[in-house]
Amino acid sequence: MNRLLRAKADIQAKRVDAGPGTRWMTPIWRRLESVGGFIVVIAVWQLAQQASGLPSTLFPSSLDALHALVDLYQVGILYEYTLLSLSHYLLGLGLGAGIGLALGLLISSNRRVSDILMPLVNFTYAIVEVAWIPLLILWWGYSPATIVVAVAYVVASPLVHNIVTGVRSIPPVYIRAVRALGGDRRVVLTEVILPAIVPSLFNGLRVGAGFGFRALIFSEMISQSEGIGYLIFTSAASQQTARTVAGMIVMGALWLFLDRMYLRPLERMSTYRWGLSSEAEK
Amino acid sequence: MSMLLRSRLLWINFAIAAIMLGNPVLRHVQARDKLQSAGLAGATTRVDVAVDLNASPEQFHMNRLQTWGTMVGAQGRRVQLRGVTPDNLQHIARQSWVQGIRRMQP
Amino acid sequence: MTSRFERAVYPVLLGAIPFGVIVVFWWLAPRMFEYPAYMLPTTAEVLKRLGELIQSGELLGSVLSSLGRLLGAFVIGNLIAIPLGILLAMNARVSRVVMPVAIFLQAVAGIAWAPLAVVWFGIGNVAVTFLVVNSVFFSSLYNTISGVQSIPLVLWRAMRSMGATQPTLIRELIIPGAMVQLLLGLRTSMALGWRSLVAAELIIGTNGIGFLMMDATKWYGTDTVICGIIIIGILWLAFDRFAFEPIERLTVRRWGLLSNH
Repeated sequence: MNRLLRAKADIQAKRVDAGPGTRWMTPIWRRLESVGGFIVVIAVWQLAQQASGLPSTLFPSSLDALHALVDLYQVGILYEYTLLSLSHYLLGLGLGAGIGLALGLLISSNRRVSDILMPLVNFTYAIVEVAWIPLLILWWGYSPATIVVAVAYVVASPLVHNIVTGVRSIPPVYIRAVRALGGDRRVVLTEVILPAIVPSLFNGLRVGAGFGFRALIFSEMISQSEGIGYLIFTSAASQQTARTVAGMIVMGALWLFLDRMYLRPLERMSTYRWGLSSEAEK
Repeated sequence: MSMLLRSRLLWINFAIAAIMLGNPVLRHVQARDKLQSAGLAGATTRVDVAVDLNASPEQFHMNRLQTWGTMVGAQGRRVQLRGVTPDNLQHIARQSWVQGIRRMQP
Repeated sequence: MTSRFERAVYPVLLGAIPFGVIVVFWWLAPRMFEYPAYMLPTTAEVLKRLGELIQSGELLGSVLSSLGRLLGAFVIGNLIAIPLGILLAMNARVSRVVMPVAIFLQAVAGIAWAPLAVVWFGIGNVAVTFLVVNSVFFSSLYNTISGVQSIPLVLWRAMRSMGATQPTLIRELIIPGAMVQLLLGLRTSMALGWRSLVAAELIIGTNGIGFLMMDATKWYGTDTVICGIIIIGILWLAFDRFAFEPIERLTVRRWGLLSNH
């Protein structure tokens, strides 16, 4: 009873948003709402499969997928493949972030240099990341190395782009001011450039991580190296479609976990600290 | 607000780290039990073993078992391997999907 | 001091320098490093291959089929997603229930559906188009719901208290209010759709640019692959310049909803 009263007080004090067209709601209902959608989807999905009469290999139901998930766990595939995918991803992420940062700062270190290289950066950024995969296959073959390189490139690309455009949009006045006050290059870097580009840096990292995750799954499918993408691909090929769907669920859950747990707070922290707002809040 | 964020993040990371570190330890202990019950704990030479899985062997299992010994047969959930070194014996026993290992009857 | 001619030509020349440097490196590379011929063909070889592809009509054919699929899928996907999203988001409770699911589906959308698409439609155009529609649909749905959700509560209440009906709400509140996000969402869904298109053509396509490139890897045709990469870059730049920027300029910037960036 107390909880309900407190909830109502919260809403009236605008600590919790009640949403349009509602009376008042308890935070308990809130929790249920977040999960409710999934329950509805699972139920409707199951009924749809049963109503359609299609075989499970063509149209796996939600329960089929959950069975497959449990099965994959027991057989040991789930844990190992998730580990493999994650290790490739993190390796590529680290590599891409490092190279992207270094390259981005290098290119934008000198105004002349960045002016000259800008068209190249723009053109490379316009090339969809997946387009490089055939080239990577020609160079590294069907192996985990292709995966790591692909992810690294996909992560580095928006990072470099964001850094270069970010640095270019700093009003030169600031740099001149710091220089006039006697700051050397290092000071300019730490006091002007880095604070200015931090939001777009973290945003670029998050965008790159997102595309990188998709690139991970995709390159696993192509290079036939073990991992979640490989699981999705081969299960469909061997008519174990329930496993394919289970793999897709794992992929979604994995990404959401990584994004909500690490990437979003990171991006929020970067904008919060410098009191700037970034439009890509999602 | 950031304190709240930090604590939940911290706890979940803690849990993940615990799982990731605890899992290999758990499996190591279980491996020791498996090998001891089969009398293979102190193996120093190559042995021929029959491995019991907890499900019908799939490509996933075969790929791995083949790197640890020469496969000579499989019936139901049992796979026979020849020439398994003590190191590889450890690897096999550590897998969560291996229920037991037995010396193979010649 | 600088004439108008110089001011016009100078940036173009400056912009061409990096490409020039690349071409020089490209030309020098085989003389400096040892690698098998198929790894990096010379500029001449690539240009020759480009000419061949243009002449045989292969390039045009591939580009047209790819773009046709993309545009068709883009239209279909958005046509379904945007009205559906608006409908779902109009009721606060429904939108709160649907949102987590939309986020999850957005995370899985696209290429992860490829094997499923093959199970259902086999390899070929239908599967590829399905994949692109899938990407466009889920990303648009999420963006639309998110956009409608971001309309300030005050405005809802104001309009409702003045007795607005559903159609009025849609016309006067939702569409203008979510317009920025909708347009950004269109751009995002196009970008995602484009990526999914190329990716799908790479693994389950039977024609199009992606297929052209993947097919070439089978016989080590690196020159074709590089041609494909360049074409893809040009296509997206053209898209941006001739499609999105004008639209953005005419609508969102003109209405002062987006600052000049």
